[in-house]
Amino acid sequence: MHNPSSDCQRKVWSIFREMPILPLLIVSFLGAIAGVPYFCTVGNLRNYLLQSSDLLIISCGLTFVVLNGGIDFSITSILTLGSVAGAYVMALSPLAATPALSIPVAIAVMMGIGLLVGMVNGLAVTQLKMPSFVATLATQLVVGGLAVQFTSMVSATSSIAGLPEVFFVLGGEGRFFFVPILIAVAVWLFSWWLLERTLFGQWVYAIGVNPKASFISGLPVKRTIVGLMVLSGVCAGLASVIATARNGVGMSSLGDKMFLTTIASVIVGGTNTSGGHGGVMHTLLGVLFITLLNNALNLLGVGWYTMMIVLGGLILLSAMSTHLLNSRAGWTWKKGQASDV
Amino acid sequence: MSDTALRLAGVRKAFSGVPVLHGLDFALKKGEVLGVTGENGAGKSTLMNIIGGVLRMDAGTMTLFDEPYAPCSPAQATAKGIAFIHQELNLFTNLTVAENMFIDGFPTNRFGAIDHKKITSIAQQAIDRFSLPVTPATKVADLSTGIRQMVEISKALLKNARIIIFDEPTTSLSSREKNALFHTIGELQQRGISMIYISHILEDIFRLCDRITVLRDGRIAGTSPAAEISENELIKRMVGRELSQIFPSIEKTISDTVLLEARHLKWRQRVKDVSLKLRAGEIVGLYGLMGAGRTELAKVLFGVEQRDAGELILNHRLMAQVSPSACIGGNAAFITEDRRSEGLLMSKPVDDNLCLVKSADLTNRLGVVNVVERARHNREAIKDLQIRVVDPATQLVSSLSGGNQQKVVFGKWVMKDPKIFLLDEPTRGVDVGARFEIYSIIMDLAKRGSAVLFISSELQELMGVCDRILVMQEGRLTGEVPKAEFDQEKLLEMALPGPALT
Amino acid sequence: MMQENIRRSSGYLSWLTSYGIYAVLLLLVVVFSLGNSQFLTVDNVLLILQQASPLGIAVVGMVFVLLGSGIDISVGASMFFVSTVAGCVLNASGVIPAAWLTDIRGVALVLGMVLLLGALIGWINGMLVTRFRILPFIVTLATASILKGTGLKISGSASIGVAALGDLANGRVGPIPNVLILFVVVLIACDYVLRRTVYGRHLMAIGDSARNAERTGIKVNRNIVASYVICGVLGTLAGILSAGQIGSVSAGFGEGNEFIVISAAVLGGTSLFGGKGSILPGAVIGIILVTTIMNGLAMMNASPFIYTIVRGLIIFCAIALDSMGHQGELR
Repeated sequence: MHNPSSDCQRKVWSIFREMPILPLLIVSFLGAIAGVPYFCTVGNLRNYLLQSSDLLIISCGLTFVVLNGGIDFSITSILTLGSVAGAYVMALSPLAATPALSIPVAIAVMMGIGLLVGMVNGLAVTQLKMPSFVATLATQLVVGGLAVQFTSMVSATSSIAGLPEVFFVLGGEGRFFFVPILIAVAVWLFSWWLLERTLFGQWVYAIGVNPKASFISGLPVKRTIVGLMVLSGVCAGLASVIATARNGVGMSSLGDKMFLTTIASVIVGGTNTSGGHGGVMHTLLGVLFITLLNNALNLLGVGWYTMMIVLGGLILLSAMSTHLLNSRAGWTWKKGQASDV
Repeated sequence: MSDTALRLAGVRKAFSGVPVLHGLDFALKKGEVLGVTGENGAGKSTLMNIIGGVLRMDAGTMTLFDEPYAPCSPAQATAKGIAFIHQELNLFTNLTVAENMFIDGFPTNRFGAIDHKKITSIAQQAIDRFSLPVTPATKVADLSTGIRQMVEISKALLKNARIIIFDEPTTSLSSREKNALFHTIGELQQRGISMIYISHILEDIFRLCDRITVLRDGRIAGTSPAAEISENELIKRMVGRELSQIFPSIEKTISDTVLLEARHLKWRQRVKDVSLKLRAGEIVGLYGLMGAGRTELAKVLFGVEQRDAGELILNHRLMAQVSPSACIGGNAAFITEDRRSEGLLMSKPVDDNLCLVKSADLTNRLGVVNVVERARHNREAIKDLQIRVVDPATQLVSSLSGGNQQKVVFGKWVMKDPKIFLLDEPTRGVDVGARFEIYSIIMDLAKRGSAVLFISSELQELMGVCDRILVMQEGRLTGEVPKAEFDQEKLLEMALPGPALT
Repeated sequence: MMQENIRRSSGYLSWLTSYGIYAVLLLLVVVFSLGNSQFLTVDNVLLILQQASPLGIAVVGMVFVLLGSGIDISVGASMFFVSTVAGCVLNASGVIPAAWLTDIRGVALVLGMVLLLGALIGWINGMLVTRFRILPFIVTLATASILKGTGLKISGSASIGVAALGDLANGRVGPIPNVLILFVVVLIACDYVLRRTVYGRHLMAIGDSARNAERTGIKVNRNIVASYVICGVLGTLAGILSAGQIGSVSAGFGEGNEFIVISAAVLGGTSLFGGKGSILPGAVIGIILVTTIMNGLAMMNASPFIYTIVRGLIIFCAIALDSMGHQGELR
């Protein structure tokens, strides 16, 4: 028997089961409109989207890594080093006089840093067989240290100011607020396309679920892993461009709060930390939810310290619920078929 | 008080509805060494796992020294005085020999510290018994496999067992170690301990055992005193299976084109100088007992493991670098023995699994997979192989039956239309009905001109499907039998390890 | 036929991993003492030991967690958290009798409370790792964030004085620093636990193969939770001592300590993949090496930011050496 209404119901249910964050996002959005003063104003909503934009870019990159069951701690330092190096090119280097030249070079430098660090991470994981969480911890320390050292060498303060005005367009200055949002949407669409439509995406999922079967099926396991670490780095580099443009200065403290928000967005969105399940659709919802939380709590006068507690709690809660959902599935699976021994 | 140490009556066991033991009756007398032998899959391990508390029986009773006995865990079996020495070692390499011997029950002093003097001295006694070249303080990581096995055996002997089960204990022992073990078994027997000795090595069984039980297809094929039965009679009992399976018959021709040729392949100690040829349209069986190196050979052929020496020619091309992707490029496919961990993405839908290999061909220059083409190929494979699945886009592979899962694995490769198939135990965990379908698939592949290497522990299916059978034993090919000369006894004899060469 | 009975791991790599660290330490001592004549004096050596002791205690705890194939990156944050709490208790009038604040009773009370807190933090980490099967670095990353946030809320990011702990942390018995004595006591006790008790041996077994351990009947989950508890207790003890040495708890206190602790443990030969490592000599030599580098850099007037870079390079090299020959999934 075919019942269209129950079919539709089933579809809705399966979306909710697949993405428990979606109802949560809707409810909290409505809650914020109703309960948070000044939330539902044009200015704030624009701000909300602006805040989401660089977080979305960097989270898309991290999603690839998490889909392989890994993690990338170095993204915060890429953000930081990118910011100060880019600002240096635009404000202090010999190129600074000609913005037409210095801005593209700066952007290239920022994304190049991401590429390079991502490459180092990828090779450390595939060639040196280091677990990504320590390999990227180490690169985070080194790159972060370089950023601070570099800043202290070229500037008396911890930031580099004097960037060309045109550059701020990338950060959504004034009536150009749509620029970073468009860039973020483009990055998200590209990531979605990469994951869902291309061979590379298919490899990422397959390797995340079962690297051994993937290898036997002829998939280039190592190349794919290097590829996704590089993607993560490049996304962080691009996020660095936008964040720097929004802040108006190159800062060596830019990445401080970013890592926790990024990892929380990816995990709360529902991408499984043991790999192979989830995706950028989840991450989009995660980013919107975390930014909403950040924005609303900010309006309510709640500070970053509370946000740290909330984010930590959310990471734990979503990881726990993933386990509970999986273990129920695992239980039926076991019951369905005993071992073949 | 009877003279029976352990008695089993009507013991049955089935896995996912497939019966493995069909009501066994079995008795172990006090102080005897009972040899148990049989082909792979005859049910030996299942039976011993039931006795050792690893598995629980579905029906039947066990009596241990005139008391009812039904262990729920290995620990309970141990407590009842049953020691089970598994073929697979259960030692911790970062601990010492003495610590390993006591890992599940350290003697401690009042402060909760391990009584080191005591474990050292007891371990030393155990070591002396076999005169092993180790000290109690040697780390297990520094020991060879043979010595490790002796440590494992000593560990079991420490538990004052009344019944000891040995599962293929000599596979990695040198002849000196083996003699020491046999000597100990004799000693233990004199102390009145009963033992079950499982082995494929008939010579050892005859040397050690008082009586010999042969298992076949989950039934007892006979128990005789060792003195009253010859080796030939034993083999006859092992293979005397009734033909329950019907095999598909297909007209096909074998051409002279050699699609795969291996010359003098070597890999570690597991594959020793193997050469073979597969021709188009030919199904070649590869028979051997557990641990003969068949899976390893297949993995070396497909580049999953890197060969140490030898040459491989696929489709008339000498392969410089052998890797799975290179072999796939050379038109080969490999269906692994363990489909859960090496074949399928268990937590992904059927569609994602089917197109895993083929997708690379359905991709444009930008790397975009042609979704429509992919769906078409998937549908075709599902239809061709008759995979029973309701919604391939969402149904997880883990929810399918064993036979259907295996068909998905076949589908994954067949879509790519390879000419060389390496099949490692393709019917494992597959029920009887689905087996016939898998045999048909294999035959059909050969008919369409593919070369197939069919690895199996079941002689019957090899004889039903193959054009010739290669026999492997301890890493070497020890025989090749053409279809006209198929004979279960002869094949089994080739596969059984002879007297230890060491 | 020759049977290979005893397998000896050979090659320069294994030599490098087991003895290389001594060579590196020796080399560094030579370089630093050439660079600064004050480096190799009794005073400076005692200073290095005094600096090394608090974090050394934390390294010992980390070794337990690493042996059970876990990791705890919440160490730095829990140091900050408990020191903040301790500071508040010591400063707030009325929580404990004013008379106690100045004598040993106050310190003992604070110490006891802090260790309890550490045990609780470790227990929560351990339960989340074992019962919910969440990856250890995710769990401890999240708890670190919670602890840091809570600590900052309590302190309001102001610096809190913990002068009352100064006597304990900076005092000396004769020429020997108190903390060094405490460190040695912890070392000996924990080494004993690891080598000579059932718990220690079971933890090693779990690290070698959790599956085998389960089959042998070892209580895997319980033992792993215990390792996190030990790490929590020792980590917070280290935090209190370290805060006492500085005299105050600022907002940045403890930050990055987890990296120092992990790299010291790994440099000392403890593997990230579980089952391999030691407290004596591993943890000791590891922390001494790391502290020597930091101390030497300071004496050569290196920029403080160089520390972070050097720290990163150390951890990278240590883990790279540890990971070589690892046969697992690449993640």
